[in-house]
Amino acid sequence: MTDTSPLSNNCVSSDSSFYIGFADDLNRKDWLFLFLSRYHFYLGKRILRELSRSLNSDSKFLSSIQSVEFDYYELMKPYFGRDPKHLDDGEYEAIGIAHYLFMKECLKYLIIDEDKIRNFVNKHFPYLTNKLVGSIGFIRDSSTKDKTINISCAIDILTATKNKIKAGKRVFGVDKNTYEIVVAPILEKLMVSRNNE
Amino acid sequence: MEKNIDIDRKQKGLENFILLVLGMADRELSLLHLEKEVFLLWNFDKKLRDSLQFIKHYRGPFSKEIQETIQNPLYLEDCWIYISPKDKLSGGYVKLTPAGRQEYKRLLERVQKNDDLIHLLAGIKMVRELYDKLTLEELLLLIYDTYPDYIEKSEVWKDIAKKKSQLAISLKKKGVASDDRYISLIQ
Repeated sequence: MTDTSPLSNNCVSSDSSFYIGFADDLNRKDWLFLFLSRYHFYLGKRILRELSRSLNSDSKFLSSIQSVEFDYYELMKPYFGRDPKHLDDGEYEAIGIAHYLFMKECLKYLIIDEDKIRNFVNKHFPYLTNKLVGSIGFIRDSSTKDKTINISCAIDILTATKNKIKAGKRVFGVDKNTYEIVVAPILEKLMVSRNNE
Repeated sequence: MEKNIDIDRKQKGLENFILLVLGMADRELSLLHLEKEVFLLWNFDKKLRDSLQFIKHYRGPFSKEIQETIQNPLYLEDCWIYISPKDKLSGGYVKLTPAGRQEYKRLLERVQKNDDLIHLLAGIKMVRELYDKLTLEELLLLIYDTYPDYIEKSEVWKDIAKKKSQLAISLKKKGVASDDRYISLIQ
């Protein structure tokens, strides 16, 4: 298994949709905890507020993550103004925390599912681009590059995701319209890889 | 005696902090940019409030401590050069010297051992990336719009306000202002 000590290059900052996808949409906290045991996930109070009570009051979850007290949104506020609708934008907090991990030289992934926010990262923080993935890309990389979860497990997760999306749900920022572009090719490749094992 | 030691400690800390801001992106920076970027950091990291005060001033949030430290550092004498202003907005420019670059590298190594200071470094990295690229007027428009209390003593707000449509268009073209932000700026 991969070294997950705090000094290893194994730290992740993610927006809330990754956590919500497992805990609420797929109803599979066990899969979420699997990832939390393989990587060091850092998150702050804005992201925590976006999670459902089933997660943000779960003592096992809270003890599995690294909590960040600094409010990185303050630094980006002039870009968004005083509009209260941005006050709970956890994605921007995730970008700030990614900077902290970048400066610590341990940032492995910045997980952002929303295109608008990904464009923001690419435009203003290009040095984070090679760390930027969506939840689906992260699941793929965990099984194929990092080998922190096995391919069968990744296939199970993506199959469950597929079933929810086909039923009309939006999971990990993917819906019926984007499923064929985002999930289907990765699921297919993983199945080929498993068959070749 | 103890009070003097405390003042020395704060001044050394402030000079080191300014060196970190200047060294994070080695390019000439206006004093206006430095003041506003540090103002955002001051809102982000409450510990900076021990050594810095920001007041309402002619060109937005202003810290006398930063201006005095840039112009007359006590400890890091040869680390940066201050160039006097030739315009009414910039407040002059500051850039690192070769000795400043060396000192920055030494300081960075020390700072990276302290977790709270790594958050500050991350904040510095972000503000330099986000705000250095703005013109003086674009920066002031964003600051005044976000922190309207600081318009009170401004000598430049009227001119900025007259140009805000033009500045907002420019911010949109640069990818700084989203459609929503553009509308909020011109209202």
